[in-house]
Amino acid sequence: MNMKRGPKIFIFFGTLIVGALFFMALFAPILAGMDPNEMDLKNRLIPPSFTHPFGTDENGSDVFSKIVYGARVSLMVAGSVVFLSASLGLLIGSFAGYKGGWVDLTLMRLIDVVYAFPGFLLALSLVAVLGPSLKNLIIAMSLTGWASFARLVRGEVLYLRQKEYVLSSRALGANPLREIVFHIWPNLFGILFVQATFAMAGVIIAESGLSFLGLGVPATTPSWGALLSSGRKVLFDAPYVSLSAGISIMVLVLGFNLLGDGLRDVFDPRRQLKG
Amino acid sequence: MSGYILKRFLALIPVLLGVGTISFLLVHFIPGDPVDLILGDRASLEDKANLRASLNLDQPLTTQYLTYWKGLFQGDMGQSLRTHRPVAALIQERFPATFELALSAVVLALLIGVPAGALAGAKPYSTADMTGLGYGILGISLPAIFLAPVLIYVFSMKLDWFPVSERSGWDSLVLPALSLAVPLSAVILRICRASMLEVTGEDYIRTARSKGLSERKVYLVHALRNALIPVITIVGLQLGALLTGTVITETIFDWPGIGTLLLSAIQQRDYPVVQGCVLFIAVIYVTVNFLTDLAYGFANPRIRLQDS
Repeated sequence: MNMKRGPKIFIFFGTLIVGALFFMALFAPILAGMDPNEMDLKNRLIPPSFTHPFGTDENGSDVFSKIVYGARVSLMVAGSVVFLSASLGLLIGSFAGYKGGWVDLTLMRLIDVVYAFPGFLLALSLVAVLGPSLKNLIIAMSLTGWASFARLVRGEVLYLRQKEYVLSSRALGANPLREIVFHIWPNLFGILFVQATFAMAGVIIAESGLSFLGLGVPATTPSWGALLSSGRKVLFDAPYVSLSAGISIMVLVLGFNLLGDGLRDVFDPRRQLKG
Repeated sequence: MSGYILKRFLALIPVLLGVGTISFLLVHFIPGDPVDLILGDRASLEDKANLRASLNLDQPLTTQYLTYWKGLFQGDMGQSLRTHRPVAALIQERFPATFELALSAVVLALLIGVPAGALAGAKPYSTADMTGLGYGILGISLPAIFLAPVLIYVFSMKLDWFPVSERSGWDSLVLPALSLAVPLSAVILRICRASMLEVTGEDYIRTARSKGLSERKVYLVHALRNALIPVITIVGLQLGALLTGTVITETIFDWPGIGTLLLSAIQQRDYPVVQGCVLFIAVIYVTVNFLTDLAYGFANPRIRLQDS
């Protein structure tokens, strides 16, 4: 493989995987064919067959339908969390980087404090005190996720604000808001997008972990994490329950990681050599 | 060097203050009355008043905050609501198990990641490199909630090589450590490969070659030593994360560490234990990161000279 083709292949396969799973999530009711929560106690733990491609779980629910609907939850939670934390990080990081001085110093200390907690454990504790629900899950993960975006944006703003074209726009009388929105932001969206792609992978893993522990999405919503948790109880007799949920998470995360790797090489040529 | 250490150390103080404050506030984020949540609706008014007094919740917020810090300085993190034992003692009991698991995982990950990454970086785009890259990207995409059940199914249930769960002898350590080590080794491999690639383009490597050193010596003595510097940072950060208890791995393997202590406290609404665990976790994390910074500065004179 040569250097030029590397990122393209990564982007191609990343887009393919993410696109396919997005499609699956979008058309879940059509693709699933069955109600993911429908219990059929006569047909518990049936191995994969034509009617149940991934078998049935300990309640007789169709695992394939749960996987299809689970893609919805994973993508929706990850999309919301990454959108919220990236927006928050963009605003706070831009403000700190542009203002400088004590504003920057104070905000950086705040970022340091958020950074001082391992993200997963802070999100876990926040969900625990707020009470598990979809909304609280998204809030908790966004509250821990914005700091890394803010740190990245701040660094870029510090670097970009002294670029000649930004200085010349200021010399022409652009107000600070205009300067940031029209001259600085367009130049950092690439890097922000790369970070957001990797963050999607991270949030999907974290969300499935929280759901696995019973602290993520409510039990009535089909999710991959919850499926792994119920699959664990029947691991010996029905490994396909855990296997289908686990592989789904891995494939989706892999898709975002491939996409992120490929896009980083495109948007961040300074790091081109770092595979 | 001492200036560098002092500067880093002083930067820790506001972070620790913030960490302590967040841990304190955590319990106050609970919507509604924590006492009702802990005791349930049917508890008598007297019981509620007693619990409120023992948690200091009847005091004004500022008094509570000051009492909290005073306690911390005396090593008092409060008492468990369920077992009535001091939180500090509970943490002290659980930490060795987490420490053992985290350290084994990091050592295992280094043993896999460094040689594989160095080899991949030394021969870019070779078959070895491609295999390494594949392992790298698959490894970082493998969540513990998936890897752990797979390991249990194959090595415990089918092959019966290792016990399914619970901490007993050394053999009970293998699977949990491995399930943490695989993703970490993938990260180390990627970093090590990238920095090896970067280092081999440096002038001092050309100098070493032109001196007539063997390729083996060039790579092992000159390239690898410098390529390992970025690995210090990532291993430090990851060790910090692992030492704080990996809730999921500890839960799956029934490992009596900090992670399972926190999770069971959450499930039992044992808020003093939750608060204590969160604080302990953050302090450990910050301290390990601080030591990592020092190690990085020690290994890379450019950093500490630039900073002081």
